[in-house]
Amino acid sequence: MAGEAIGLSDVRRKFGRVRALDGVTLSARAGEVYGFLGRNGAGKTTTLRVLMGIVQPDAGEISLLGERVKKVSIELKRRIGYVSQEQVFYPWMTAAQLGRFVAAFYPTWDGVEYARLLKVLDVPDNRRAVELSGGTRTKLGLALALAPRPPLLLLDEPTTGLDPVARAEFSELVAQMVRERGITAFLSSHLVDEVQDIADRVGIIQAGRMSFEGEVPVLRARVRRVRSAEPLAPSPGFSRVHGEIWQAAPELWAVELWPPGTEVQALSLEDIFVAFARGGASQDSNA
Amino acid sequence: MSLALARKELREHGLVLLVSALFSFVALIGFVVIGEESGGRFAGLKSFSMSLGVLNALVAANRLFVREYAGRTQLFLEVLPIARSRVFATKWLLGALWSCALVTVAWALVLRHQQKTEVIALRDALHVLSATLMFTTAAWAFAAMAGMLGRHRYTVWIALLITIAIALDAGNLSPDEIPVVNLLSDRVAMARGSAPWASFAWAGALALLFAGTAAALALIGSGAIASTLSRRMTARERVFMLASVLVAGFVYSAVTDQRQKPAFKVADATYVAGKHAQIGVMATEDMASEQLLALCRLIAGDVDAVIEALGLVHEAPDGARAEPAIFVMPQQGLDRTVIERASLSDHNGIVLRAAPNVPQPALRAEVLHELINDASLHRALREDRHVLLDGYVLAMATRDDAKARELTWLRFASLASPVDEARLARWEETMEQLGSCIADALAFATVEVATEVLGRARLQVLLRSLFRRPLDDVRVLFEERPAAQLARAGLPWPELARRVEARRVELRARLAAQLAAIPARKARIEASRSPTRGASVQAHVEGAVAYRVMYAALGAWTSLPQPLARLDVRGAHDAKVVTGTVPISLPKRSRLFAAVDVEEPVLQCPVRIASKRLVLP
Repeated sequence: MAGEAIGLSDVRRKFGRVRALDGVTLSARAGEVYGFLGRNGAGKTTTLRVLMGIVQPDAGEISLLGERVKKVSIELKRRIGYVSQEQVFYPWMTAAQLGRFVAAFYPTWDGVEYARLLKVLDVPDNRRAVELSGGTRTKLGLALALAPRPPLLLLDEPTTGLDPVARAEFSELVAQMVRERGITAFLSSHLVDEVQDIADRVGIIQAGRMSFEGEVPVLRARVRRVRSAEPLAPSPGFSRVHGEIWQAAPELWAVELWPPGTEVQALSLEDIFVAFARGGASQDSNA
Repeated sequence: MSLALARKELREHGLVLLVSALFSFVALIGFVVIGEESGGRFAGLKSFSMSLGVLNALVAANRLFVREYAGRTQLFLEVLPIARSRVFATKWLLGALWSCALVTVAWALVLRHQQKTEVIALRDALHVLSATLMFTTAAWAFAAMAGMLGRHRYTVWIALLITIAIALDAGNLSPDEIPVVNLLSDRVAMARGSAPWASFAWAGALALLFAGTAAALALIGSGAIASTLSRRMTARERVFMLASVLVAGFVYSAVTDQRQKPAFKVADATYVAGKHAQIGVMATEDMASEQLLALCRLIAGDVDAVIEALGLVHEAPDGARAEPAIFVMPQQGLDRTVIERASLSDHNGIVLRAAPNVPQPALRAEVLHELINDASLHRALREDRHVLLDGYVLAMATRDDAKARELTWLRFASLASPVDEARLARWEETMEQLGSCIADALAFATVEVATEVLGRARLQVLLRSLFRRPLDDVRVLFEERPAAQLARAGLPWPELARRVEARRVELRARLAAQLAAIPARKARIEASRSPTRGASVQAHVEGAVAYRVMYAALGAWTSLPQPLARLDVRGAHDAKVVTGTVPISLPKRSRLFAAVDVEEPVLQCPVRIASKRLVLP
């Protein structure tokens, strides 16, 4: 697809008997913030690790920055910035030392930009990583990821463990960087608020499969809560997500004739995410 | 190899590895000292490589691999644009280089130290280095593989050690038959040729296998195996491991038996099979093959005669009768009065090193000395019978050499001070005061006088009793003491001393003309300490133009100051007063033994003209 920064098609990966990815298909466009939502253990980190070449998929196709790849090459990896879920740095290194170490692996490393980012992000360059707070370490991770000026930024639940203020600051920073540089950001998270504020489009992964992919307004137009005293039997095209939550094409919602007393409510992204999560869970348990 | 990663590793682990290396080099001094006492040129290096070399490889593997995975910083590396294989290769090569550099420095230090006292051909030294490096590479490859096994690494090490122990003890294998270990055999420790190519090939193949396994663990499954293994052991796993080790230890102790070590052998040597022992002399350019053969035969004759006369029994640790193997290694660069015995860890036998021009009676006597010492489980060295051992072996070694006997009697006659019971019964003090040449002559005279009084047969019965293998039960506590045995034989110590003294007086009168050719010499020894130069020893010598000052630091329990080292002294060779600084750091109140020896042409041996035990001020 033209303008596609990330493309996964039917990607599968098993760890022993566990199907971490069970045919994941998604597409993130160049220059957008893609919010990748999923519960813990849904397959988000594995997806990002596949994209970083840390884990090899068992099957499926991957394209990155317009290149179809079987294995993520070193050259390609140099064009991807990555902020992991856990900021595991060498504890004895200062931010300055980490910068010098990481710089050796990136021909495009911009030392001036790294220094600027540390300053903007308020990361002291002379303190050892072990002495930094969780939030500052995350910011350090972001600075390290952005200093080589990559066209693609992968963020794997970077704000896990941060307080709400730090989380909001981080999200703003990411949004700002994306706007300024026009890069693609792929943000995985289980925190809906965090994603819906900055994501252009979202993908929801459930038990290794994609439940939904699209723009947030479209998603909100598709999924609604229907409260009725009587049992519902909607027209074809409607499907129950979980409980009172149904989904259908937006145009179907406008023409559907509901029984008297029925209440149709729009939902927040969080409610939709929870409904998908529960629906997936109930499906799993039914299976 | 990634230079950036290598720099990071050096920065992260350099200090720890450096400290580990410094401690190792300090320990190397101990290994070298012990190795010197055992007589092997590179015995210290061998011990170092097998213990601290391996330990340093283990430390390096823990730092380079285990720490990375256990600290999960491996995840940080995996995110960087560097191939996992390159990360592994960098770390592996760094560890290999570090381990090899460590033993190479140790080799250079040992070589430099040994070259101060003896000539070592570069080729021989390089053989030692190549074998040591191959051993170290294989050890590192194993350590790296074990490191990749994370929480199971010590299990693998324990399994390896138990396997080797079982192979040695239960399997009755010698270390020469165990791959990799056989690279550092006794012949390598003694710098006598290279290890066989097969040993190199085996070690190389195993190193490749270990390296391949480590690489597989690092790379297969996107490194998931190594990451999983790096997690801490669960309580259940710990209990299982502990139980396994205990069971393995129990099984080992149940099936093991003390192994019989093979006799020491070298290919390029002349051998003679005596009636009771195998004798070998190492080929050397200084001795023709006929000379070597003659020496072998002489020693074989001595050994057979002593074994038969004293009824010596040599037993292996398991109690089986073992034929003693005796091996002589002529070695350039050694003082002609020095004869050293090698300590063999892997073989049985008596291996002596001596200069090619060593006096033959002294060498033959030393062989017999060690033979009896071994057979008696070192009880022959007890002070209450030591004089008889020294005298008997010299008497046996010179029994067919009238000239040597004559010279020994002359040496005895040169003893200016009278002989009393204390001289004979406190033999270590006597040796310390007289030096080995005159002390041996006194011992010789004592045994000869005893032979004359008791007769050869009765003396043999007495010596058989004194030098036999001790009983290994409670009866050993009730054995009759040598003084009582001598008295029962009719020749108590005072009487023997009196007769020896009478012989000395008689000989001094008879050999007065020859003794007159020996100039009178006097020496006095003092010790001092200065804050800048440390402890120094001053020797005031009169009447001698060439002499040497010898010394040995005395430990708390040192009875016999051996081996003696030559002190570098300042002053002309014929100066009346020379000063030497002890080249070791000794604290105040340390005890030191010092002696002045003079090479005496008439007696053809070094004579001690002064000796003193000093307490440093």
